[in-house]
Amino acid sequence: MPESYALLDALFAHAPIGLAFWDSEQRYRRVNPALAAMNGVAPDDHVGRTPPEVVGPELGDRVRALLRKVQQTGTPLVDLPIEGTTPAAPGELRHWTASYYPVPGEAGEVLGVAAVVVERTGERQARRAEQAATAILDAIFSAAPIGLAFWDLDQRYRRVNPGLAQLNGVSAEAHLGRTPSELLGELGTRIEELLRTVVRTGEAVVDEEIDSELEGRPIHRQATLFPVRGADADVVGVAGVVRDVTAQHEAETERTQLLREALTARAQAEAAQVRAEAAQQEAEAARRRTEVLAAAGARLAAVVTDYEATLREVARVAVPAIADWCTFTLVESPQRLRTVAVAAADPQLEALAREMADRYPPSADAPHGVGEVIRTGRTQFVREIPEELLASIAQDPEHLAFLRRMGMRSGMIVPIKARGRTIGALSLVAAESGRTYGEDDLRVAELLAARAALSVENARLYEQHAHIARTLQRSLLPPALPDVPGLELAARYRAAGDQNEVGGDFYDVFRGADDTWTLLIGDVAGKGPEAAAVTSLTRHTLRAMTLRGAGARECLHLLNDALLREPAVGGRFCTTLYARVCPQDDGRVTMTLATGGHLPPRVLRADGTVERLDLRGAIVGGLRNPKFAECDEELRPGDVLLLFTDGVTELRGRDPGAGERMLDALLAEHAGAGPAELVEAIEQRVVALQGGEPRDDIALLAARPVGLDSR
Amino acid sequence: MDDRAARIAANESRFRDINERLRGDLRALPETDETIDFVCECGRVDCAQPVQLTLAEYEAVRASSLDFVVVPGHQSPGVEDVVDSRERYARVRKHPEVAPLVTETDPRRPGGG
Repeated sequence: MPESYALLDALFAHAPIGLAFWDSEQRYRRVNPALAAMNGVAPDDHVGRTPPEVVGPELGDRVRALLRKVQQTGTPLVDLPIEGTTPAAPGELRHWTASYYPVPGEAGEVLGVAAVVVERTGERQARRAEQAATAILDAIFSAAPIGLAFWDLDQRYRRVNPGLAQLNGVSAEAHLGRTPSELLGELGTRIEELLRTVVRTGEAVVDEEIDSELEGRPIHRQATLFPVRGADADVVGVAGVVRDVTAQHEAETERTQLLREALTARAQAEAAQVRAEAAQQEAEAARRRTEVLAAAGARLAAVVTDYEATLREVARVAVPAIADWCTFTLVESPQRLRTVAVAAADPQLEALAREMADRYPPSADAPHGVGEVIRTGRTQFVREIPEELLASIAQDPEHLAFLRRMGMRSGMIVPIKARGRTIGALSLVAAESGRTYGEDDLRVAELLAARAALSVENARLYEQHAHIARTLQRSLLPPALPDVPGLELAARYRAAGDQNEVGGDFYDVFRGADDTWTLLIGDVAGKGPEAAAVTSLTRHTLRAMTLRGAGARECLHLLNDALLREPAVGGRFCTTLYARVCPQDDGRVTMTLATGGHLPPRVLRADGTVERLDLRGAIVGGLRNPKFAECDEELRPGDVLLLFTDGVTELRGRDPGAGERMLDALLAEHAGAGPAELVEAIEQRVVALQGGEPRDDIALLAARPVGLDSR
Repeated sequence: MDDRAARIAANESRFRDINERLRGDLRALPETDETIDFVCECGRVDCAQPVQLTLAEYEAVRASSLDFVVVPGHQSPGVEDVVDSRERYARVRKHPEVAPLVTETDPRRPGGG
């Protein structure tokens, strides 16, 4: 027996299962540590207490009911599942398997109940966790918006969720037992490659891009496949998570395309800006060239005689708009060239350049530069001037130093040609501006040179023409008034305009066949050489007729015939006032006057009275049978006879009679004045009234008796 | 080298700079085999046409500092020669007179750009 008690004690002390013994009153008599731990109450604190008193009424009452049933039936209750809470873990539902055995007495009565209790709480939890996990997995498989699959080692689908079924366009059931390539063709082949990789390496492949087509539509998938291992850690299959990233891919592609388009649009905008700036620069250069041409053209188009001054102005216009240096060189003689205009952007260098131009005039025989251009008539265009060219142009070291100082970078020398001859050269040099000449610049230079040529040639022709006109004009007037006994004479002639043409007005004083003198004044229609021819014919015809003794009116008739007969006259006519005067011993001057359509002369009497000698007569050379009036008049001492042309009385913008009224008034103001004073005063007044530029020639001839004693 | 040639070369270099910046920005995006609208590197002030090249074609042109890419027909006679003419673009090579300018301004030249 003691051995049996010892074994029982050891069993109670070390058994990993709960052991307990209740007496007939269902009070704990013995409890081992394992059960005490389950109840959360020390073993000794069980003794003498009922189950409700130890573990609480809920669990304790159920235990007491079981104990009662064993006591009443004497039959064990085996492997009863019991759950409840104990003070060991208040609030935690725990599970046990309990077996209750009756303990019989010697008489067969039930002395008490023994129990074996096995803790099942962990096992139940594990089982429930497994069930929950399975449920969750099922839920995920069913509801996940992504594709999920499980393949066995034969790469056959074993489980597929609706998400993947939808992605593949095949029902979940249709997947099972089939391989990806059987199901998806090319796309499946790619998946199988990944499955093999996972199985071979035992490692997952993460976010692998799988691009393919499904029903003609490009699709893009991202798959993560990982091994599934069994209890022995061997790979038993592969699970996969598959996402359709086609929309994402398309969005990314679209975004990339938009970015690309934005970048290219920005580049095109930048280029447009660059081109706009370039266009503006070109327009600015063209504007400068046009302005230079316009400004130079305006100066060169003016009728001038001082063309050198004009060329200096043009050079000034060219600098710095199109050149840093500009010179005009003209041919003075075949062997002599002269730089007539120099302009430079730098005023100090310009002064030096003028000095150098004087010291080193361009040589007509020079192998380079201006001399060569003038000699050959060919343009020299040097985009970039090399040092060697400067050395070849320089006449000595000082000249070379100056040329270097000019900083010449690019240059053009253009011949100035007129009527097939090269009369000079235009040089344009770019220096400190840094510009380099191009074709557009050369065209401007050539235009400038052509206009300069025209201007110079016109000026020279103009000067020649004017010289001829002046010479001819002088030949049509007496070089000096003759000394007429008994008469004081004065005359004025002022040509209108630029004196480039011979005027038609004339006057003359000459001696007749006897002691008489003839005073003439006239006006031939028109100007120029033809008018000059008529003037000459008129003067010399009247002189000849007078010397032959013809009377005043007869002279006019003879002149009329001469003009009508002379083809060179070309239908031109003239007005003429013919006065034959004869100074008398008593101081008077008798006169016979005849007029051929000329303005009536005036007599300023000594008392200040102004008399208009009204004579009528046709113009000379206009009619076959004209009538010319003739009258006799007398000048007394102090009187002044005034002959004049219509340039005196035709005042601009005034009524027709205003000029003659002005003249009469002016004469009246000058009572007592001599011929010289009168013609001076009249010319000044007429010129002043016409703003300093009379529009018609002015001829005045005045005579005053002075008595024969004055000889 | 006259002002016109220099101006054309300078402008074309600026267009090359723009295209190079575009190329650099495109590197941040996924590479593509499709054509890109690059800037025509011609000297015309009124050009508004893009020139279409793949990135590979563009890179081939950029291999030489003397070469530029223009819309066919946009080359500037007298300052450059067409060395490769295709339907979408023409590759032109600068004359020696402007070589120093376009070489010096080439962003891909060591220390350039």
